[in-house]
Amino acid sequence: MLIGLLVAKYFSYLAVVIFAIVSIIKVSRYASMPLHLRWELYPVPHEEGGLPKELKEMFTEMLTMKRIFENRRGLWYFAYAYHGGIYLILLWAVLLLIGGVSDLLAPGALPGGYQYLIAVVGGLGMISITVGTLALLIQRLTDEEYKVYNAPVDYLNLLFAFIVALTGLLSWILVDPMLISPREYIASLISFGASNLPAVVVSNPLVILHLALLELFIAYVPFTRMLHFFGKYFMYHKIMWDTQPGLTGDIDYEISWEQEKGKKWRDLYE
Amino acid sequence: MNRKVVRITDLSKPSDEPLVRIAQEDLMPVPHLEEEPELNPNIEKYKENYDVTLDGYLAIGVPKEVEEKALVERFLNGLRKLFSKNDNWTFLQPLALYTDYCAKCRTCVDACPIYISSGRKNIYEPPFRAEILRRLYRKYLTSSGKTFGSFVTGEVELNANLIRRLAELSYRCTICRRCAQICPMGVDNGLITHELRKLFSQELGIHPKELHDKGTVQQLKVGSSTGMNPDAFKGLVSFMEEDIKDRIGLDVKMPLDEKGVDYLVIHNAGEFLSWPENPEAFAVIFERAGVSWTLSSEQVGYDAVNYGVWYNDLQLTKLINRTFEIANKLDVKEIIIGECGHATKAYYVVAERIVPSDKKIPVKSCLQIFDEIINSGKLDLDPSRNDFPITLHDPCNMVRLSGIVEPQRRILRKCTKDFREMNPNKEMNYCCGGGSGFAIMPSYNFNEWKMKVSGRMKVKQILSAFSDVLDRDVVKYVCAPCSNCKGQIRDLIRYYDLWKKYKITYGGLAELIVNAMPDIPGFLEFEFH
Repeated sequence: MLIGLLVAKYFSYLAVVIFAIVSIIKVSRYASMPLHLRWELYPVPHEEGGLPKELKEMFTEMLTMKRIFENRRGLWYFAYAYHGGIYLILLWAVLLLIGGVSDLLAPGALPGGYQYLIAVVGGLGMISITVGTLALLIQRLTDEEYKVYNAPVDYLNLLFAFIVALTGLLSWILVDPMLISPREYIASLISFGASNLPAVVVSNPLVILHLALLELFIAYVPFTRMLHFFGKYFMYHKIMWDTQPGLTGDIDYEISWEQEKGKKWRDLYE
Repeated sequence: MNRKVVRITDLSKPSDEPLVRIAQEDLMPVPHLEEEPELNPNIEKYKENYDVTLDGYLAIGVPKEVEEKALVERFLNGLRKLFSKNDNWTFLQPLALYTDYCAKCRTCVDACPIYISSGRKNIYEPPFRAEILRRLYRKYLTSSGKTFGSFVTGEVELNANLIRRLAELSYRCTICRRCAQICPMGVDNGLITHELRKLFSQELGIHPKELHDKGTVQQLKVGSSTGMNPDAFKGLVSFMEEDIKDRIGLDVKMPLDEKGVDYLVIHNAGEFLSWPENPEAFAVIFERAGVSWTLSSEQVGYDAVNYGVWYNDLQLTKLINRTFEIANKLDVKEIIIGECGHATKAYYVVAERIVPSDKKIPVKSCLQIFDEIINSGKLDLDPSRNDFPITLHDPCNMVRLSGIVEPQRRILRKCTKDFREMNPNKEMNYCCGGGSGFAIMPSYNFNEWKMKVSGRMKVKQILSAFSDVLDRDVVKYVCAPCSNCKGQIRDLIRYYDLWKKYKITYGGLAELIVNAMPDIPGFLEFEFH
């Protein structure tokens, strides 16, 4: 019970705080790097259709993983199962949040069917991530050409995501097929305990295990390249599509390369 | 097919034999190319003095005997500088992101013409050399790598074998960046190649002599990477004016060092020596269009080449500074880069953030200017003058990397009759195989690799574009508006004997425009040279 309470109550906040702080530190690190030379790739969507075109390109890529679909279809099925599953879980989190807020402020305001929506979206998300991560893991372990690139941590990351999803999937099937407890759990979290935590979340070993692993995973992600959703912003918008004219970089930096030691960039003449 | 998979750790192991061997039966088949020269890398000739153990070819020719401890130390110093803002403000942000966020999904590998043409040798996969840098960076420069070791970095051992092979491997990619075009993350493994080359050049002094000693160093010292000094250049200008008269009977001036004009036109100096008809055609077009322009006879001012963009930011910066100084002195309104892809990217795109704000002058590609001139109706053009089959090679630097895609197509549609696209084209084009300096790097046995591997996809594309007319006794013209691409395509035509077999030749775009002028006798001469 105590472990369940710790996991469900305090570690949930802790995981989110760690995620946020480490992500901010990482993003700030990239954001504070000096203005680089232009290195864009064409077509640059904003030159063709302004911001709407750029946003369209970005969301199409994010939501469909078009580039993998077109160029490596075999991988896309697994990668999309994983990422599509994540998108479903994010949507599920939003549905839970809406449900939780509604339960706190206006109980009974949402129709009964809403819970079915939560169950379907959450369940599909968990199935999708479980299948996707397992398939990717098997592929990485068996394909000689992929194995060249893998460090043990790459397997660990996939295995970790798989176990989190699997324990979630099992909790859904075995403990709470209608996924009522996550809605209550969210309501309790956002009200800082004003509403009670559901019993299964603090007492069922499988649910506690899932929640603990999920929290660990959330806190772990920003330390890994799984944080690429922030990196992708910079890689697309600040490099690949950055054509902002009229800027000059910091040519006052001092050089320590052997070739021109001690000079400043602005003094590079010959 | 030999699909031996090379691991990162293999590059650190001692060996007398190449890790990978290019074999004819492994190479990508090319339709219509029934016979081709046999492979003969002649490894025995080089193996005594140089490290040939990557793939049996030498682009740089790294000596075999090196003092290992010092080499490793210097490499690590360079690695640190690559990730420091003072030393690498130019590309630190992209490098850091691309190092951190490759998903290792290998989506990019099939986009690489070198990997495909080689018969899918995995050392040529775009992420392969990048993965070596990523592992070394994590191992030596990150706290997670120092704490958790190979569990997070993956296995890698930094020694002289790895450094020598990695140096060569950084010259097995043309930095065409086609791989980056399809990376779902937006990671650019071509940039990692670029950064590796910088590390080797700027810290260790390891670079192909054609790019450095005979390239940027000679250009800054003498005036041109061709070795041409200002006096020789002025002599060539006089020769070209006479040549125009001989060709078409007109007195056309090529203005030199005129101040206050609209355009300072800078060609790749290789044009003056190998293809003078191209700058001559510029002069005819400008004269007809009433353009106010000039050439510069100052050192560097008559050679748009900037090999720095491929291997060394310091040399890149020096040449950019020098060029803008000349343009400012001449007080021109715009700088126009001739038919040279890498120079277009260097000055039209990359230079901008190097040039101090008080020295900035707008830069354009000649293709944009020609397009404007033709659109304005100042030239009378008859497409039937160019009635032979023409295909267009898209220089990566012009198209994917500078966004100049349609002007050359509009021009071709107005001055030719049988223009056919290669496939794929535009921003998804394939490199000619001579990109990032390869076209001017014939040393050791590298030419064979350029012809057999990096240029193979282009040969396939050219033959395919002309497949319906290959058996017709008619000249087929590969229009390549880029000096380096032209050099590579010339070498490919020669190597595979495509002029004799199929009457395939090549040339620039300006020549086609002049050849379409109805009141001028034929400007093009169809002899393969």
